[in-house]
Amino acid sequence: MSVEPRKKRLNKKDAYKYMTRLGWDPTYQKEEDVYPYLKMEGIKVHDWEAWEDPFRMTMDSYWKLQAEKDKKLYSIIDAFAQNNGQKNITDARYVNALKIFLTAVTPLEHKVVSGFTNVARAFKGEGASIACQMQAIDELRHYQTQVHTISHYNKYFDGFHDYRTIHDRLWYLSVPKSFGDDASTAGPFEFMVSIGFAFEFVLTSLLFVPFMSGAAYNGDMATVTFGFSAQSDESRHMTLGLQAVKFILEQDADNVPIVQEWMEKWLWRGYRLLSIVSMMMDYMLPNSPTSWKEAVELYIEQNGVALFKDLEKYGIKMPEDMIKTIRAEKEHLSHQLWKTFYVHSTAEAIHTWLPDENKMNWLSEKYPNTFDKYYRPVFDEYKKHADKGERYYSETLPCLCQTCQVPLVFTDIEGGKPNVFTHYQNEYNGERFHFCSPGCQDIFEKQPEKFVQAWLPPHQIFQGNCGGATIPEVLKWYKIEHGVDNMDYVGSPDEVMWNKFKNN
Amino acid sequence: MSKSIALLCIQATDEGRTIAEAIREDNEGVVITNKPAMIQIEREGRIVVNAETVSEALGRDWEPEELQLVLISTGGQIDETDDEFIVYWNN
Repeated sequence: MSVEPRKKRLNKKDAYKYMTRLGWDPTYQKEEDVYPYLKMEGIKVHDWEAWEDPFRMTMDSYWKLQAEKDKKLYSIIDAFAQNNGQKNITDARYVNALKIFLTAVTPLEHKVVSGFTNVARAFKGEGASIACQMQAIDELRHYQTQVHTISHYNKYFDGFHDYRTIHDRLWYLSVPKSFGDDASTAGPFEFMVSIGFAFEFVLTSLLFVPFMSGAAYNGDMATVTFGFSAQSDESRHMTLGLQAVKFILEQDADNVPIVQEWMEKWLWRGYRLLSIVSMMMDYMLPNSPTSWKEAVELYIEQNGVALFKDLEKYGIKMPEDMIKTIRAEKEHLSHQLWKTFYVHSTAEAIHTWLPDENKMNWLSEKYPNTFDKYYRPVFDEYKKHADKGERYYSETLPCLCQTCQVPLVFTDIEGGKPNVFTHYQNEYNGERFHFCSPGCQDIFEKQPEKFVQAWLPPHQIFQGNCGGATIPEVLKWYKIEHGVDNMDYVGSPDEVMWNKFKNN
Repeated sequence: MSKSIALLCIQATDEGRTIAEAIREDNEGVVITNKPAMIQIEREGRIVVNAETVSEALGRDWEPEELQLVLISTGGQIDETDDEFIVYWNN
């Protein structure tokens, strides 16, 4: 079958230029008054025209492509809802991974709508500004697709009923919340490096791709659909982030050390932010296509390292220590986090459970150096208690890292003692602060006045700012219904509902 | 020293599968792996998606920007022209 020769038209480079380069230099106001945020971070820009958008998106192509994606996406979500697609997931336990994802990520999507709008206004170059405006609208799209998904699952499963309140108040959700707050209170160039580059370019695949594949493996068509549909926008975001970094580095050699420091801060914060994905992948998917270890090997060790090799020509150094730590932790992280979530299940808006024999054998296979040696015995011990009717629930809350706000569950892996808890401490203005790692301690030391303001949920509870001094009072303040949204999957209303579904 | 591996992940839809086959034609040594709902495409150095090859395979006019409708993720820098969509590392 032959096709007509492709029609000739105005080439993309020129079309894009004519439709986007519509700005001008201000004449009756001072440039620094019109663009007041450009100098405050010490970044030097000499020529905004050097900013190129490889996708060269104009509004006509934007609407055309986005409309096509949305038509497909909402058709699938409608079909999923009409056909009770939630009945076809592998197991209701899976939905708890979705509860974490949606309550953590949805509010962040909303936060970066204003983040990118602000940055679009702050930047002078049209190429940069237009790409940021498109990203702001993309993030609004993502936020809405996720709210639609929450809305569907909320009809059947607990824990989705007030994602905004729990995002603001719960201890494990303060990890993404503080990440977003940190980025939103940075200047425009740091915002671009933090979200546009570190999160959208380096880390986004580590969050979305394995999780969305996991959703596909477990029958969750709604999540696969919004996830992959959002990811197609992400390719533009990734490109914008990389382009921002290349542009800043090429504009002036003085920018290099500033960007290096931001990259190290935000890659580390981003890695800690995504640590919860490790346990979602390894423990919360009844069918796990990929292990956290495998995802780290592809997305950080292969892709991430390749990226830094590219950036070497600009004077950026690969953060060797960080990569070393990530590699050392990859065989421990998911296990350490899941056992933490297991014991603190009273104070969570999700259910947790013990891994069954199949899952543990999968974990043995994927983690031959660590699972059977350090972690299977822990779960066996918890099972002994559960089998006696004494399922263990901790009555306390973990201390959090002042910077990343992940609980201090980390151990001395690189020192050869993976079963010994370790953390770091600083004194600042007469107060003591705690950190999970040298990475987080370093971040605090560079901006102490920012991080002393961190709102840490367990600390706030003990200061009496969270509804009361008892667990029931705090749960009420969290808008968590005790015995419904929290505790073990076994015995939960979700389980009762699921068994009814499957037997009808 | 070997080059870094360029990565392109696309949706495993009808169109995605056809595009993957067009990519296989034009990119010697490409490694294509099927994952749930996704087609993972890897190649040392660069992956070139050629609009003419894809148009031929689909039986209709196809523009490089349409790749966005099936695109999930990339590992590498991007260059999009009127004729090609390229993912590449420069190291």
